Amino acid sequence: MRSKIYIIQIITIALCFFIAHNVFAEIEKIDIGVEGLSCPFCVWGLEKKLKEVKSIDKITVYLKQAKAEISLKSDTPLNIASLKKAVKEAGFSVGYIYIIATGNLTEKEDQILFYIKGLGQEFLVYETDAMSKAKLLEVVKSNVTIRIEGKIHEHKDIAPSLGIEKIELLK
Amino acid sequence: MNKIILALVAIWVFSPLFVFAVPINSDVALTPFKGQIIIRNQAKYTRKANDPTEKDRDMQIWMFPNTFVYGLTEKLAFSLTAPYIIKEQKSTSAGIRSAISDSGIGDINLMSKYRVWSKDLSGEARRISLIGGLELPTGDDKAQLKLGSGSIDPIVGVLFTRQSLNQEFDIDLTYQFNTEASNYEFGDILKYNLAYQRRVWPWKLPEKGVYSQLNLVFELNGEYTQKDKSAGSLVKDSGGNTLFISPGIQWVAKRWVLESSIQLPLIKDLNGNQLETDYAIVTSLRLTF
Repeated sequence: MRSKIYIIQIITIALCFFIAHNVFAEIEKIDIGVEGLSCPFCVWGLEKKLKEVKSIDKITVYLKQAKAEISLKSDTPLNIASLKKAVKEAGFSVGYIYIIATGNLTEKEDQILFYIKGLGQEFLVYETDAMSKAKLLEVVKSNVTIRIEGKIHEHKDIAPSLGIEKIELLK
Repeated sequence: MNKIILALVAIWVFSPLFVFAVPINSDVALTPFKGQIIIRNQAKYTRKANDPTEKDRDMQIWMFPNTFVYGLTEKLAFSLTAPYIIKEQKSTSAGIRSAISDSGIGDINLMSKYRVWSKDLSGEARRISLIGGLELPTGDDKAQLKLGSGSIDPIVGVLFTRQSLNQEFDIDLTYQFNTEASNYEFGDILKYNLAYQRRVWPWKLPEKGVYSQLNLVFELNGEYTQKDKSAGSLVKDSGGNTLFISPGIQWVAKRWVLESSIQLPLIKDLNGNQLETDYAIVTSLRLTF
């Protein structure tokens, strides 16, 4: 009887962990284009500086592609300023920031927003060649959770903007 | 004793672990990241000979400069170089060949480097930096074979680097204003260097991750020195211009660089009767923290 209780407790804890992980793993991956990164000796500095950003969980640098692929800790939002600061202090420049994330599109005051519920973080969505405003509004109306890929840009005093390149309807 | 030191240096230089190496003799405009520490240990052997006088002097110099570099910001770095020097000179007098030697700490260099311009592209970095600093009189200038200048000498310079995933190109110009000490003033020194490095392994870059790489290095290292002054008068057997061709090899990993080069004189245009450099061999290891 006692062993059954233990098993139930273990399963319950595992389920809680699984659910929590999936709620918060809403930014799956971030690619940072690191301009100026041109030798193996330079990579050490970039990794060291990115590791100092508290929200970062894992870093993989691709030297040939001059990019750093990072994943965030499960309960932390994307802080673009801290990423840019880390890259700058490593002696390089940020070329682009590309994310794969799960969330919802909403419309507020004639502006389309990509909202990541678990993190309470939103991005202003702008029209791209791959994603017209009409197409974006269709997704807004469908009110489904989506998985997006796109480039983000930072702005002063307003939310960062997002140029969506791919959308996958989830539910 | 000197033979033991020579053997140790030879083992270090020619050890398979250290590849037959070829180090970098030029400076680069790249600066360390904020908070980065780089330690560079060098070993340099120089042989000087071709004394036109009947003394038929020849000299061997072992230098072990240890450099500590710290990046205060990503643009500003400071470095300290403390060399240990061993000099031995042989000469003939009244038909008898004899040797004298001196050893000890040489002049310490305190330098700063500031990146004044940069352009970052995908897989490429272009930089211009300025350097400035002092050579401090920590070496014994009273020794028979002087280990230091005895004076505080300012150094300024400008550096350019263009580094890409496949190759690197560097130019640097530095000028050392030597000042007077004990009624003797070494001539000012202008150093001019041109360096080219090419990755030869892996020839094709892997798509993923970070790899170590083997570079071939080709440098031209020039040094123009003005005549020394003794009690205000020019010393005729001093000053001149020497240009070395310096092929080298370099292994670059994420946390360390191992490199070595041999310097061979292309131009030896020295004033008066002076010893000329036959060759120099340099090996160095850089570690980052």
